[in-house]
Amino acid sequence: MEGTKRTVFWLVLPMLLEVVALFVIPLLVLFRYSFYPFVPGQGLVTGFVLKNYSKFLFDSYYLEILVRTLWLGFLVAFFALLLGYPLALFLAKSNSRFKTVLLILVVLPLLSSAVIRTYGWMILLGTNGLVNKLLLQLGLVSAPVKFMYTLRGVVVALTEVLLPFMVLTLVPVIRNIDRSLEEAALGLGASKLRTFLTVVFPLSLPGVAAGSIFVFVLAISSFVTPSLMGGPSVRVMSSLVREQAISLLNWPFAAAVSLVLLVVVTTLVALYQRALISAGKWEVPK
Amino acid sequence: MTRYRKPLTSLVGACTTSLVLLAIYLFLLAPLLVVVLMAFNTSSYMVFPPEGFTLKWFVAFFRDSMFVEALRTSAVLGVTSAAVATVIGVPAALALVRYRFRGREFLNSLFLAPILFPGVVLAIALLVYYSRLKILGSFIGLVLAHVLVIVPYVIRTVSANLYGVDEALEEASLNLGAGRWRTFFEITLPLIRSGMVSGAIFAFIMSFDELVIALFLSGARMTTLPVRIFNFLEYNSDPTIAAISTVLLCVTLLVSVFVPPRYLGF
Amino acid sequence: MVDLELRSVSKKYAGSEVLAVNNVSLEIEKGELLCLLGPSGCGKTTLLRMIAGFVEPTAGSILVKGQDITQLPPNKRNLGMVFQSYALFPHMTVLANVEYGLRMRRIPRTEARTRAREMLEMVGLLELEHRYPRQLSGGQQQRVALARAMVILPQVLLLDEPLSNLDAKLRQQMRIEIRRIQKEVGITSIFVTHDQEEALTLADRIVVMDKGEVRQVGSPQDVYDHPVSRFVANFIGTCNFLNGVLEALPAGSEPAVLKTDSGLRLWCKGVPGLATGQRLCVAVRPEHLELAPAAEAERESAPGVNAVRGRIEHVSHLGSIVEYHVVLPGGERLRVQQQSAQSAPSVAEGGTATVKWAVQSSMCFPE
Repeated sequence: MEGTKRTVFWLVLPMLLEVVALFVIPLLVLFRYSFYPFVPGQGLVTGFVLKNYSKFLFDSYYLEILVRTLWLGFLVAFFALLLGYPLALFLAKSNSRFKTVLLILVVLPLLSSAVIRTYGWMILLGTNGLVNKLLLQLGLVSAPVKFMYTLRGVVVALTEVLLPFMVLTLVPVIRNIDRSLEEAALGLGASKLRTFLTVVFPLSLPGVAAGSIFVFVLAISSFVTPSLMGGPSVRVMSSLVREQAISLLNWPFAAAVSLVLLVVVTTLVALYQRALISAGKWEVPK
Repeated sequence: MTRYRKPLTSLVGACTTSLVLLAIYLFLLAPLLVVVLMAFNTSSYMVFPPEGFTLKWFVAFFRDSMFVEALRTSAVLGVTSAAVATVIGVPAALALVRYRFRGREFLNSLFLAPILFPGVVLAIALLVYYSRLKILGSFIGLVLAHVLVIVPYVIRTVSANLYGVDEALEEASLNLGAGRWRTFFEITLPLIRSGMVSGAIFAFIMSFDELVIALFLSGARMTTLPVRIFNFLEYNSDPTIAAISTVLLCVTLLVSVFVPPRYLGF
Repeated sequence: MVDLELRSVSKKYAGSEVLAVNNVSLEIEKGELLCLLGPSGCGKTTLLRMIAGFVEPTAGSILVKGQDITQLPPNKRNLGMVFQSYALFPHMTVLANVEYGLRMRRIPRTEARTRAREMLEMVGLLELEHRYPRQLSGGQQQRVALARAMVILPQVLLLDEPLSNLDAKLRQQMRIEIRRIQKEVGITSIFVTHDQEEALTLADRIVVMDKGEVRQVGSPQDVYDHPVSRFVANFIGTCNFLNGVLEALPAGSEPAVLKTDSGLRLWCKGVPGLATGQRLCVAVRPEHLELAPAAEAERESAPGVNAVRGRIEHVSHLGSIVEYHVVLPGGERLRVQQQSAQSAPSVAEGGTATVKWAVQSSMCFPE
């Protein structure tokens, strides 16, 4: 079309400016910053050192934080899948009149701040909280379980915070599985369970992969829930960045830590995606 | 004629399914429910069932000028950012959906990238960058930062809407003699209005609830409500926070009522 | 021997006022290919899905070889089904698809493999056994679907509009192919279609359905030559209809007389139970009409043959036949079909001609 290029140029220009000025350039600046030396008490000291990275990579204290963060991401993705899959299966397959309402109830928590929901969990999971009272009354535990300032508590709260992302990724994938495939399996003699195991579940694997990656990435980069539920005793990458940048004013090190997080996020996503794509291919039975 | 009843086994199965679903929903909604209950509860500790009904925590909130000021800041910031995001997001969506050009795929992923980007990384990057530009703690800086993370929501909803609008309608308008601008304002814009409104509302909610970037960028002079709540919660806990949270929750719920369910997603 | 029997089967969907299937009773003989034919929404697919067990009947029962299977879940029925979309499992190869039903029946691996291969050979796809469905053409997918449904040796084979996704040429090929395989295996089959031509070429018997009810059951010849209602006459093949009032009952060798709404008097075949003054509809198939030069009109209009004059509005050449659209003075339109070789050179577009037909070839339906 005549003039297409010019039209496109003007249409994307404002967004392009915004992204370049507030995303691309700041990231380049951050990258440069991560090589600056840090001298306490002095502001910006120019130079080029690798110290910020070596400090992180050769100190078991910091590496432990990295491992803890990844472990947290794994646990949260696992539990979100465990709870999210049945819910997504129901929402995708059901013909219930209340389906729209039920779907909105899943989205609803997303529309509220993670701060509020974490606060809710702080109330529920306190030593004298509702959950502990219930556990004690039911005789499931003899002493209150410690949730606050433990990884356990962070996992519970973060799973809830990120569960909607899992469900909303899975629902369209499961819904798009042709219903006649299930009917074909049933017609060929498969029980409902076998139909699920041999047809529905394998065909939903791309959704499972996508949802797990999504939740994993969100979990390892989450800030609010680990900071409030975990406090100083469950330190993760994002709270380390904040501590270094805001409390200690060591911006070069904070920059290096955040870039390590970024690299981990991107590589893991790439590897995980590739692994699952090849695993998802149905093997020809030999 | 013989009529049939459902066998008992399927009834048992249905009950189990319902129980499992109920448990998952309870887990999903429990924190929000408990916050709302707490806000109206007389006792300052979480007791169940609630001891009595009171509005004193709401009164305490509105008496606290710091919190009220933060609420005002959050509202102004949300509206401004959402407006800017809509103005720059709609043309971008239009270009990405309606035109084929080199680098379209690249721009598409670049524009949507801030959603999946770790918030902390973006926050520290902007902190460093803003301090260099000497706009740290400024309102405009906060607006621009929020715009970056909320535009993807506008682009996504408007794109979804645009894909549903038959391109032939626009072609028909051009064929009937309307120019590009007339076609946009008389045909395209009315047809994507619901997507635009939903996108803007999403953008507002995301800005209104955003914490990490605001925490890094807002100074002592200007603080958003989520930041205030966060700072308070790190050291204290008080039902006043429950009342504030309830107010925050109500604002987002009221606003999101105007979003058609098909745009509900993330 | 009756393989499948439906006894007063009805279905009413929740939230719907009308019966999707209304009191249908049928018996299907062993080895027979039965076509369920009707317009979309007539209940034919619902009926098939009730037989397969995907839809629960509101009332009535379904028997296979005398055994009631109404309450049986679909996976316990042993009926093969070919879906409109084929429903091939996209994550399994052709061979794995065909083996699936055998695996569910816990048939030993080697035997399952042999049987699946045999079936694939029958449909001519053995060399594609390791392909995935997405790598096959529509016709090939169709054959795999057929093989998958047949390999489990189902008691009845159910086919739900299996050819509707194929292009015209392939569709004709597959019709012959399906018929060949069905005969070869001797499997009792039910074939759902909305395409009357398909039903006429494939079926041993046709069941014509409309609005959830069975309108007629019979051989293709039977339903084509002796439709029991205007609906059936119109749905199967094409038909000219003339509406009017019965003026005189048959008397002696004279047929009945119909006065059409436009005032035309026509001889028509009497049907039992008619009374004068009753509204009737006369139907004649286009191939039973004959065109003659205009002058012949009055001479030929004797009892037993109708002759009406009309103007030729349009002539279409359809290959082996020629179709004329004739407008009668009263405004009715008739379609006349003649073999191309026999078409009279004197009748051309815009001219007048006489349309003749034997009373014996016309059909008469009370309204």
